[in-house]
Amino acid sequence: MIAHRRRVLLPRLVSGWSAAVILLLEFGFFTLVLAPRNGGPHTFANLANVALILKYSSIFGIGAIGAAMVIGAGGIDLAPGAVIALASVITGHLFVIENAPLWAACVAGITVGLAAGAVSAALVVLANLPPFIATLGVMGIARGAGFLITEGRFYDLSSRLPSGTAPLGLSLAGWPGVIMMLLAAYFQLVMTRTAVGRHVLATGGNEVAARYAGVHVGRVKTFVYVTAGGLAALSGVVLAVVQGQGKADMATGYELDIIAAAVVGGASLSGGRASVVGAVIGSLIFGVLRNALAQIPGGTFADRLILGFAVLIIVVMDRLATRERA
Amino acid sequence: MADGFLLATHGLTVRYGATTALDAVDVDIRAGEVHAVVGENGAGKSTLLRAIAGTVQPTAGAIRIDARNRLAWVPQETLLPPDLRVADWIFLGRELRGRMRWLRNHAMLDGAATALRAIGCAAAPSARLGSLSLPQRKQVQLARALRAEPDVLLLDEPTAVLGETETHHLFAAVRTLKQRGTGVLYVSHRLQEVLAIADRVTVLRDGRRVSTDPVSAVDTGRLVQRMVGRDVPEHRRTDRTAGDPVLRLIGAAMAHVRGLSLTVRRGEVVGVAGLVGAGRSEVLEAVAGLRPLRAGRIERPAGCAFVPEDRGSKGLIAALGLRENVFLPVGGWFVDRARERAETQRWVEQLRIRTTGPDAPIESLSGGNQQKVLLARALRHRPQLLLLDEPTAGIDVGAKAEIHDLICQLADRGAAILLTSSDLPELLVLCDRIVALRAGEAVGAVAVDTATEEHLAALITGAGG
Amino acid sequence: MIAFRRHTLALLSLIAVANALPGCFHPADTPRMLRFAFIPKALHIPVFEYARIGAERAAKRLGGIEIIWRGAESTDEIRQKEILESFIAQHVDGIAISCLNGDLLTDAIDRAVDAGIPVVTWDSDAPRSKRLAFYGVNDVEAGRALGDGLAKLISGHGRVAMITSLGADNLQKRLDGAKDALKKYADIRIVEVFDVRDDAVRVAEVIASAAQRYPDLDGWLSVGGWPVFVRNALDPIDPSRTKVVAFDTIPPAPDLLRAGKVQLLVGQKYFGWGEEPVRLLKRIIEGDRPHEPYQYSGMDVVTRDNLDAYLEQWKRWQQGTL
Repeated sequence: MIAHRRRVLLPRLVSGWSAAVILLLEFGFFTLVLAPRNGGPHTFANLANVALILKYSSIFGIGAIGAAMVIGAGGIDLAPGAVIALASVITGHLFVIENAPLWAACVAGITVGLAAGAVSAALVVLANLPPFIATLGVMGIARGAGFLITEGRFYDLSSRLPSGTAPLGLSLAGWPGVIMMLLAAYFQLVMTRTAVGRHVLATGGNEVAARYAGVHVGRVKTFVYVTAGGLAALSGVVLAVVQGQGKADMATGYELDIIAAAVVGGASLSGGRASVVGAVIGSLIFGVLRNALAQIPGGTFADRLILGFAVLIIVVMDRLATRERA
Repeated sequence: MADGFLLATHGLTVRYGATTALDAVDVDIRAGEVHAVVGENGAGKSTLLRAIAGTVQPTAGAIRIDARNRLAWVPQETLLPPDLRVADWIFLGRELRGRMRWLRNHAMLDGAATALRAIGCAAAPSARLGSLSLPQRKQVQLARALRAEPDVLLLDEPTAVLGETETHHLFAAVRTLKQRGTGVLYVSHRLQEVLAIADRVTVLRDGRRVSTDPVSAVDTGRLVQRMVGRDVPEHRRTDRTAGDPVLRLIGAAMAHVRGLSLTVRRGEVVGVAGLVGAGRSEVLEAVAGLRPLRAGRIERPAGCAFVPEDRGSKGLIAALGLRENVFLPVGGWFVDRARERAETQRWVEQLRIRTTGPDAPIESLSGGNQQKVLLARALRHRPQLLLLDEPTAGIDVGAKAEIHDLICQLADRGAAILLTSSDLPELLVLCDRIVALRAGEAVGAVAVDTATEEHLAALITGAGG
Repeated sequence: MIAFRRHTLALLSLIAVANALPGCFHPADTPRMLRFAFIPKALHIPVFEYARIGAERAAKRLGGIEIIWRGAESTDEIRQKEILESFIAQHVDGIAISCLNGDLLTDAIDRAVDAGIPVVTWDSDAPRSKRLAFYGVNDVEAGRALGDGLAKLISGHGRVAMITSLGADNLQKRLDGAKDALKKYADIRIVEVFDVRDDAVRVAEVIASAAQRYPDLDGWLSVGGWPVFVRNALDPIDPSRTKVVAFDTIPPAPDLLRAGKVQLLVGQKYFGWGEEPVRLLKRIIEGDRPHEPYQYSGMDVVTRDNLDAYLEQWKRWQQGTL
């Protein structure tokens, strides 16, 4: 009996948790390094800073959940950044200009994201375009639509939201993190405990075999792209409400950070492997890194460089650990 | 080398964690001989070749080979980059170069054409590998190895996906190499072929070398006994009465196949025989609903299960484990892991799948066991109609017999089975009726009681009546 | 086993990376310095380098002040806000920021001030926030200077195109001031306002394609320095036919002015952007708050006639003797 050392089944469960270990090590490391010398309050390891990290990581984290599922199905999505911006614009426009109730504006924003995802799905499933091209097109359309609607202005939601709004007792700034956690838990269950989840990974692992086995590959792909679009839009809606602005030029380039978070969290770009929890933890890993770098003298000039290195190191180590051994 | 061997292994041992794939194996290859290695799946044959070829590090032991000897290895898997051309693959790494190191395209196309002719392959040297059929791709692999004019040639199940004519050509090429002094290590399940082509045959069982004899001193029965460690009785067909028709094709036409009419009844096993490219897989795929019909009609039952050929690329999903491959698609909305595990365990026992457990990674299973996983996936739904495309390709004697038994049991219990195979004796053993396809057309139906292998071969090749 | 090795490697590489950062392990105990955080709009905008020089010089002159210069790599407003909030968490002693989007930063600035951290803005303001002072050019007047300057150059009639970057408050004010000034001239028509998204590379594309679209344009007015931040953006323009006025006088703008490619430049007090906020923050900490939040810096209108004198002045600013 040949038992290969290649971790095929295990990493789908373990990768998410391996990422968690890296996150804890990272946080511990920076807590040590950034400890104050003259006994003042700790500038990094305090509740307010952790809340800050959660808030800013969730911009990527919510989208990374969708990216993990799309990558798990064997595809790729370049539209999230543009969809985040467009959703914030739609929400802003309806709430500020058309005076719609806030909940309706939010729902509309999310719907636009679902629609963008549906367009991506149609292009991939019906027109058979490679996902890279299809979502690149949707990205351009969404970004352009945002600029068309706003004509370069932006919508100021904060002017119409009473200051100190705290739904359910939690201040607005706390909500992005909570939403990210809830979505992570929900979609982790979907990916591991439902038929759809398994079909997503089957499609990404070997689309031909999945189809031959009877999986509706087209429906699976539609599901992941529409969901990814909706999640990106949700991120945009949250941004609009919490940060108070709907702008067409925000979130430029965020799709790459979102994909990086999903990959660091265990998604394999060749399909068939992905972890929703891992993707969220991946976004936190980068969030902690960005936050900590801002506290180290001389930090931000090297930000991008260090983030790039971090991605490479983590992914290379993952490859080394799963290489076939005799 | 001094003692007349081109290559020799001494105490070769390969361990993967707790599993020992090869246990102190001594094997040697002499110049100008074909040395066959046979054994059940999991006996270590492929591992032996991989260790010699160098892709697997031995845990212990040594391999002695003269560094000047060229070694070529044709692995069992036929995974080739689909966008490369045939000639590109044949010359990969040994491209012909001209002035300024630029590639000599025409020379390579000509060279490839020569190599393909030698192996009897009809593919064009400029064709994309992805456009070739499976047997043609295997032939391209073989052409590449043969062209390199190696001193040692390692062949792993070369005929598993080849038809009779192709096998013929391969043997001719191998004999030519023998005359030139090449030593061939030939791994195969097809014992008849082994006895036809080899000079010596080594039997492996559970990673150990059981025996090495000149071919004249053994026969299939003795080989099987040593491979399995016990006697395996030849399979006997039981008489069955067929029931109502379950599948009807009426003038059905699809890609590569013109109007085909056939009927399969309950409790009946119908075989489709044909050469490579005759359209067998296309028929099954159309019945399964995976291929559109161009004309005609198919009346199929609601419960219909399809097991495709080429389990590696069309059947199994490496990213998922055993249980998940069986339960695909998941019936219902949610995954019930406990129930799946229990049922998977039952299938493992029923089909005698040799594995470490219901969640084992698919790649840890041997070919025969992987095929059984696909069968479990199909049988789980208790289908009325079972479609099997090359169900025993690349599977050893022991597992093959088990699958044959299984097919017969299913038919006895009333399932209708439509299967294809390039192994004519297998068809004669399993089927009640055989339909012969040639170049997309049905050229005859044969009732098995009166059929002979020669008659069937004549039908599918078009030679004679 | 493998998982453990992977985590050890992760830890080791993070330590290695952190070691590579300069000044990561702080020198032996230094006396308590005032830490002022300076946040430019983005790190890649060359104009702000002069602010940095000014800030560090003022810090050295006043003594006991450490300047922490930090910004986003691109004009990402959310990232700038993240950095600002990070400084609040670090309890720095003062914050000086050039806002990409003043309204977006308002609630964060207010939180900083409420937490006892003085905040001043420079170059680009957040007027609705609780910031204690704004130091910069009076954008509306600067815009007017541009408008009037161009009008004079084209003798009060013709077609003009404008270049801006949508979003930043100060640019919007300059645009308004310029339009306001040009309104006075009935024979001057604005054909289009181009948005170059704060990208000096894009401005070359815009000018080149506009030269095709409007072949007989009389003037260009740029409320930012993008056309004069690179050497060849203005090449498609024929200076004898079309006049150009632009914002900012940092190199290579003076060379372009001398070569005649641009006719008028409005300069800001770049070094002052660094020096003044440092002085303001120090005074605020010592208890002396400014009565009037708007600390206008004044501007320099530079043409070929006074170019040499301006450059002399620049040299003295650079050396800190002015």
